[in-house]
This record gives sequence, C-alpha cells and structure tokens, in this order.
Amino acid sequence: MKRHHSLVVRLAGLSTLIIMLTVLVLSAVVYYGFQTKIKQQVQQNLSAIAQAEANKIASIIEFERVNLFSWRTSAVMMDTIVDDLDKRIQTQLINLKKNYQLAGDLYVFNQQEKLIASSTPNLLGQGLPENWQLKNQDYQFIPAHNIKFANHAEPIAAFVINLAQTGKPQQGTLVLTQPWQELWQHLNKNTDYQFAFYHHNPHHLDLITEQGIVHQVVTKEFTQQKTWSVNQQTYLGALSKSQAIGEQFVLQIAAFISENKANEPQIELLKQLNIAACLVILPIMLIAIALSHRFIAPIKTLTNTIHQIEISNDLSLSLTVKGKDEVADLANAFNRMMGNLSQSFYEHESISKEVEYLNQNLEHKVKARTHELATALDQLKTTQLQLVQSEKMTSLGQLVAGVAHEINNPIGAIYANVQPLKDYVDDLQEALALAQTLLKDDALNQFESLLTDIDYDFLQADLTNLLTSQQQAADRIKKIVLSLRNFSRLDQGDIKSVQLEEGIDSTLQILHHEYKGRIKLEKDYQLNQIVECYASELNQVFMNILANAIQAIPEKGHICVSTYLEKQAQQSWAVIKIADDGAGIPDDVKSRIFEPFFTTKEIGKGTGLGLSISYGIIEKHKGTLSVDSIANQGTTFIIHLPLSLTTS
Amino acid sequence: MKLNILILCTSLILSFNSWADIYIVTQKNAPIEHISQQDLTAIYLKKKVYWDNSELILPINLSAQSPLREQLSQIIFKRSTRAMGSYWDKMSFKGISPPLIQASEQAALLFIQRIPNSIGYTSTKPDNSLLKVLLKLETPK
Repeated sequence: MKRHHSLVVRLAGLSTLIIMLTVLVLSAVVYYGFQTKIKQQVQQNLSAIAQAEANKIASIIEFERVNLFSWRTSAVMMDTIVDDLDKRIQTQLINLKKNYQLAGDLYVFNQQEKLIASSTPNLLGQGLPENWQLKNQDYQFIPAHNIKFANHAEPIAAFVINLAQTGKPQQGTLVLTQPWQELWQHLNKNTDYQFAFYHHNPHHLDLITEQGIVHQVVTKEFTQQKTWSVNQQTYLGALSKSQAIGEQFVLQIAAFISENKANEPQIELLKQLNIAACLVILPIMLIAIALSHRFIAPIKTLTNTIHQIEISNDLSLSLTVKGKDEVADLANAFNRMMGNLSQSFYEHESISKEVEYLNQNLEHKVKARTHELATALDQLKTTQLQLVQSEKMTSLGQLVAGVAHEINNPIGAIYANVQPLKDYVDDLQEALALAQTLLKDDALNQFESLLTDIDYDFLQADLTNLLTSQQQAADRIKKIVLSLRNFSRLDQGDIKSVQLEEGIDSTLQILHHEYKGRIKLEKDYQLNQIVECYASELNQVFMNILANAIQAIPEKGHICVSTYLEKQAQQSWAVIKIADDGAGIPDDVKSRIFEPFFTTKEIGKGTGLGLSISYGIIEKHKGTLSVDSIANQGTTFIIHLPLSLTTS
Repeated sequence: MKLNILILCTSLILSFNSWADIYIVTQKNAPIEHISQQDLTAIYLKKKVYWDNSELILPINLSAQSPLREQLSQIIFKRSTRAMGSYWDKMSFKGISPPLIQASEQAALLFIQRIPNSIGYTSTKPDNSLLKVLLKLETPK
C-alpha cells in the first residue's frame, strides 16, 4: 500500500530536518564564532604585519646605521685629515656603494665641511648641506627631505655620522643618502596588504602604491577606527607601535587590507561549512533513510502479517522476533496478543460452533421430536386405525368365527352324512341291480323302462359324481370354515405356539379363488418349528402379503412361499419368504410401502394400511419385515421372526 | 720582448736595493726634538704610545707595498714588512691596531702636519716649516 506520508518518509524527513537544523545551528555558531575570531585574527595579523614591516624598516635603518658606524672605523676614513689626498676614501666609497649595492650615495666631508670624497663623481668641493650638519651629535637619521645637493630631485633619507673616532683626531662627516621611496620598496609587496607611513604631525598617510607614494590626509581619530576609508575604498587597518628613530623621526607603519579581501576567509569558511554541512547531511540523510527503513521494516512486517491475518483469517501467524529492542517487544506483545486472540477466537469459534451445533442439534431435536411426534401421531393414527381395523377384524373374526361356527355344525352334518349317503346310494344301486336281475319280462321291462325313463345309467353315474362333488364341496366348506377359524383365531388371541405354515396354508386357502388356475403356487416349507407368536395377527400379515403378491401378478405367474430357520448371532429366526414374479415395486414407491395410507391402488380399492399394519405386527413380534423388489421382475417379502417372544 | 721586461725588472730591483736615507718626521711643536731608534721601534710596535707629556702618539705608516716602509722595517725591526704581519695579528687580539697608513709620503706628511702628536717617515727631508726631523736613519747605499 503506497502512502503519501509513510512512517519511513516522516522518520527520515524528521531525522534529516533535525540533523539539518543541528548542522545549520552548529554551522551558524561556528561561522559567527570564527567570524569574530577571523576579524580579531585579521586585526591581529594587520597589527603584527604592520609591526613586522615597521620592524623591517627600522632594521633597515638600523642596518645602515650600523654600516655607517662600521665604515667610519675604517682606517681609510682617517684620510679625511689629508682631504683624501690619495683618493682612498673615494675609492672606498665607490667600493662600498658597489659592494653594498646602495641605492643612494656616500659622501665624506672634511672637518671644514667640504666634500672630499663621494661615490658620485664631480661633486668634490661642495659644502655640507645644513640639513646634514650634526649639532653636537654623533649620528643622525634624517627622514624624507628634499635637498639641493648632488641633483637629488626625489625625497631622500640621509644617514649622517661623525667621523670622529675615540682617540682619533676629528676628521669630518660621513653621509649616506637613500631615496625615500627605495626604503619602502622593502615593504612586503607580495601580499594582499597595503602599507602606509603614518605621520603624526600633521596627520596624514603616505600610501605606498605601485605608482609611488600617495599623500593622504586623515583625521586624528583615524587610529581609533576599525575600518578606514581610503581612496573611496573601505579597509581594515592597524598601526604599528610608534618607534622613535633618531631625534627627528618617528616610525609608524599602517597596514591595510581591503574589507572584501579580509572577508575572504569568512566567505571561504562559509563555503567550507556549506560543503561540510552537505557532506554531513547527505550521508546522515541516507543513513537516516536506511535506518528508518531498518526500523520500520519490523513494523512493515507486523503490518504485512496483520494484512495476511486479515486476508487469511489465520490467527496462528506470528512475527519472527529479532533483537531485543522496543520493536522486538512490540512483536513479542503482538505475538502474545495474537496468541491470546487466537485462543479467544478459537474459544469463541468453538463456542460458536457449539452454539451452532446446539442450534442444529436443537433443530435436529426439534425435527426429531417433531418427527417423533409426527411418527407418534402417525403411529397413533395407525394404532387408531389398527385398533379400528383390529376392532373391525375382531368383529369380522367374530363374525367369521360365528359364521364358521354356525356353518360348521350343518356342514359337519352334511359332511358326516355324505358317506352314509354314499353308502346308502351304493346299497340302493346294489338293490336295483339285484332287482334288475331278479325281475323278468314285464317287470323287467317296466323296470328297465323306468330305468330308461329316469336315465338310470346317467343317474347312477351322476349320482356318484354328485355325491363325490357334494362330499368335496362339504369337505371344502369344512376347510374354509377351518381356515376362517384359523384366520380369526378368536380362540387364540394371546400368544400361541403354532406352526406358521398352517397359518400360511389357511391364508392361501382363503385366497385360493384369487389365484387358482392363474398362478402356480410353490411351497418350500423347511422351518418345521413351533413358533411363539400372535398367530391371528401373523395370519393378517400373510393375508396382506399374499394378497398383494396375487394382485401383483396380472395374469399368470408364480408365487413361491418358503420357510426356513436362520441362525444369526446365537439367535434363531424363523424366516418366511414370499416371492412373486409380478410387476415389482418401483424404487420411489419401495421406500413408502410401509407408510400408513400409502397405496398404489385406485381410490376405494385399497386402504393403504395393509403393509403398514403388517409392519406393525412384525415389529410387535420384535421381528423384521423387509422387501426386495425389482421393477418388472418381482417382489420378495422376507419376514424374520424370533422363535420365542418371551426370550427375544 | 721578454728580454726587455727582464731588464726593466732587474733595474727596478737594483733601484730598490739602492736604499735612501729615512727621515723620521713630526710636527714642529711636538714635545720632542730627537728620538732614538729604540723609541722609534717601540712607537711603531705600539709599545710606546705616549709622549713624555702624556700625549697620545699617532704613528703613521706607509702602505705595506711601500719600499720605504720595507726599508724602515728592516732597519728598526730587523724584519720584513711581511714578517711583521704575524706580530700585528697577535697585537690585534690584544686590541692594539697597527699604525695608521697613508698611501703616499705626501699624504703622510700632510697628515703629520695637520694632526698633532703624529709621527711618520719620509725618504726626503721635508721642506716644511711646520715639520721637524727627529731622526735620520741612514741606510747603506
């Protein structure tokens, strides 16, 4: 995520700003501190330079003085006594000027103040100028002065010394001249400084310039000023200490430097401070940026981790902690917080799930309870219907039982009388046969005519058939009655130990008219066990299943009824399997066949209760009723019943 | 040419060897009328520096190349001028400078004439009323 004011930028910027301010303040302090120092130093330098130059000039003057004192001790100088008769002095002066490379000239005057020797030719005999005359002095320095001697046009300085030596006769005067300007040539020219000779009385400066000495009038307060304005330029200046040289001369040198030149070190300092500031600020800024990145990196990692957590909702993510600084503490705190949050979240989630589970469970429970209630209601309805059905069946059973009982006696009489009737008919037939044999002629003819009239042969044969048929009908009625009795079991409402096959057969008997000639019935009875059960109720089960099987076969088919014993887990089961090759049950119907009131029959032809009641009866026996069916191939109902209700 | 130079040098040497008399001269008003050779030697060795009236004696010498000075040196020091150099070296260490030198006899005589208590020498008897001869050193011809 790009930020316009990220922490890195702000941190780096702040650091840089602080460093910049610090450096600038330090630079300012250094600059102003050094500026003062530089000004002081410039002033000191000016004073020192002025003093040094003054000392230099003084030393030059002193040097010439010493030279003069040396030269006058020369023995040759004694030739002044003889007016330099041998020109030794003149030779000496010429040599001195040459050897000492003197800019001025040397003159020797005799005691009579006449020039007797000179380094310049053609001057001998001239008198000693008044300026150069010593008045009870041994030596005198005479500063700049113009003199009409030896064609000196420019101002000169003169060093005058008496040639009188201790213990020696008075001789004369030795004079060394020097162009005044030449004296200042010794001032340092190769510097930024300018020099001037300061005259006290009257106050003025003799500025030393390349064009020569320039006279500059100044005020008395000139020496007190820090900056001097000379030739319309501002200078910093300083004066040397005044030195008295001889009786006529006070040497004081003023050293100048233009203000711009004097400020150059300050400007240079400012430049260097700026460069130094840049050299300090730039690396520090880079370091600040790098450090900011380094410092912010853990926070970025923290932020990224938080984003990842936001995106992935994975609270198990944690930060890698490096170092032992505050950020590491923050990361540790974050990790702890994440741990706590994760724990809380998982607790919350588990609670939520638990609540959700409880809600779902509640819903399930509600559904289950509702289902139970619905089931209970259905069961209640079923039970009610079953009760009604049972009641109906009971009534029907009672009715059937009553009818069977009522029919049973007459049919019993009929059945019992058929045999005697046959016996009687046989007897009658035997009697007729005997009578026929015994009769003769008319009687016989009448008898035979009668027999013919009554179609005795047919009658005889038919009578046998009738009797047989009657006997069969009676027998069948008897079986039907027995079946009705077995079916109703009114006398067996409680648990009975019966052979199931009997119930099956009774049921088949009742249904015989439904399938005879159309369906081939196959029986495979292998159970051969007494089963403890509610026999009449089981007969209803058989009735329902077999009736359905018969109805499932539209035309011709097979019904196979088999019984066998099955042992499962130390329990023996009586298994009744009723299979047909009828229409079969579609899958969508198969799951609903045991539901109450579910029927595929036309309205009014089926109650939808048969299999439901059957299911209930088998459940009552703690057995199972299952169905295998393939559409268009057939259906098999399998009943598992415990052999004993009391032990199951 | 070489022969001519040789002849000239020989004649010069012969002329130098033919020494003349030496006149010891001082100012006329000097406090001495006559000086012994011994005193003269002492004065030019700066061993005698004052006249009897306590005035400083100022001896004047000619230049070292002067034949007259060489002649005087041979007479009063019994040594050559060159040989006397070592003496004056030693005396210089003691702060005693050699006598003043004048380049010519004329200058020497003018110096003596102008400076009291000075003493010098010349090869010719001075014809000057301001000077007087204190001693005449005769030299072999």
